[in-house]
Amino acid sequence: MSSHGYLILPIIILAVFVFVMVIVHVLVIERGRIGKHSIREAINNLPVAVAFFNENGLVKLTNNIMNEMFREYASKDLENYDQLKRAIETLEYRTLDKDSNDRVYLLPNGVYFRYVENVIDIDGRNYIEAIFYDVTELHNQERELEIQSEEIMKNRESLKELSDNLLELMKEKEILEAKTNLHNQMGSALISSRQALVNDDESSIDESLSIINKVISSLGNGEFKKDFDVEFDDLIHDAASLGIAINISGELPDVHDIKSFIVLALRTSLTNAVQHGNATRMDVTITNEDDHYFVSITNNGTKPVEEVVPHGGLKNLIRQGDRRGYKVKISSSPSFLLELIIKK
Amino acid sequence: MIKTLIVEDQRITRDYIRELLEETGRYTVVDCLSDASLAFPKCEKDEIELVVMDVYTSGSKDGIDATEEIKAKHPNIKVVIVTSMVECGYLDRAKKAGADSFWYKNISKENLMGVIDQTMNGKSIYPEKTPSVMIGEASSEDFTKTEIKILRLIIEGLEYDEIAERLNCSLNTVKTHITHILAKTGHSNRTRLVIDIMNKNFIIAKN
Repeated sequence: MSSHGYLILPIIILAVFVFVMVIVHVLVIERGRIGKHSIREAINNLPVAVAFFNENGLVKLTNNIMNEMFREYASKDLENYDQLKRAIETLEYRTLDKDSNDRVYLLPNGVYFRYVENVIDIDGRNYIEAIFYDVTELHNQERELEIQSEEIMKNRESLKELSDNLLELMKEKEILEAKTNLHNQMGSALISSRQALVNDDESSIDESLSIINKVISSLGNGEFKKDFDVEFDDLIHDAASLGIAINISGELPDVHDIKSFIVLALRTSLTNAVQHGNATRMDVTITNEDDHYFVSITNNGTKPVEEVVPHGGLKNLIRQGDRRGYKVKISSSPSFLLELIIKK
Repeated sequence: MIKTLIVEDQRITRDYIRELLEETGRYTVVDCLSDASLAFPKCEKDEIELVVMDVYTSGSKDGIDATEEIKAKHPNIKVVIVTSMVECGYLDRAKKAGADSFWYKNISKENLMGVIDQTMNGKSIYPEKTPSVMIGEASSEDFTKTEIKILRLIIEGLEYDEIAERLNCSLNTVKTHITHILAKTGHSNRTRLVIDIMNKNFIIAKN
């Protein structure tokens, strides 16, 4: 609900209160000159539903809006405070914020009302002032804003997904270019070696063979395998380079997308272990449950002093997990723990 | 022998650069990493004199941010950035980060070994400008600095009012710029424009 909407309430409450005080004082000062019908006419012109109850909870004053509203909902006239409270308790509502008791109620006819209750003192006597004011338009605007915000967030996610996919595509293109280069080299080497053999040119033959050997060697080492095995090998190598051993207990799943996500989680944990934890070991446990995989990742590095707030790699991991419907849980105490729940 | 670290996530490119360096007999490759986030810790741990750094690697930190980290603590380590991405902001970012040299894979006229040798001899080799790409009917060189700023914020997912707030200008100004960009490129809508820009790697959204 916009902040402007909330300003209206105090103004209206103040206006009603001042109105009532003025009327009462005018009555006291000029008894008999202003009749009850004048007060009723004035209160009926207020743009809110209002009711006043005395110390015994009996109705002293209501306006037409309140009467109509109560009659439509409860099918009877409003007579006392308890009736109003009981009727309110049956209504759907939402709290405006966790720190206040202000509520917005939904009536069966689709109208949203904000309810405010005050105890006012008039000449030493307490009266309960109950005000409902119509916030349907504000509520609908707020809902529209929420929907638009959700759309914006979805668009942002789609854009991020597109960005990630295009970067992956760029990597594939690089590999394809490298493959094409090797293919061309092989082709040239084969042609020149054929000519060298025909012309009995030893140095050319040697050079062609050298190129062919290099190409075969590149292909034979699985250079073009851009898959889990290569990613995983690189991860283990990077960890070893920084003096960290990765111990894995359990079997890695056979599904490429799941494997890739686990490798991403391992890499993120490795970066954190190196940058923040001075670790020498990472322990990974993978459990295969009926409908999900459970992965836990810890390290023997320095325990976090404060709660770990995800940013950078951890934030990216959570985002990637959300996109796939996987759960990512980060614990900081007693030591850093990353847990993944991956639906099959 | 110059102790070198290669940061590159594509194995074939890593091996190619390693072979190139070691064939000269002047360089020894201490290690290879596939994640730029680990480059600075590696430089803390081992004695490294030269880093050949890819920009887009595995992990969340890009090679330019890793370069800034390294140069802040180890200004004597030479860093040569290598990339195939023609992202318009990379050259400026690399200079600000303190990268000694910059080389475009498959595009730069100089060969990589020449750039590395000159860098170790104290020179700083940078392309004159980012290679241009065609975005629709327009060359990437046809965009103004403000238009590039706006495009980057669109790629990062901001709406027009957020862009206006970020650039401290009016919503109408942002909309006018978008209209001009669409007219220049011939793209009929923002979505097609964004896809074309991202496909050509002219602007890459940072994580």
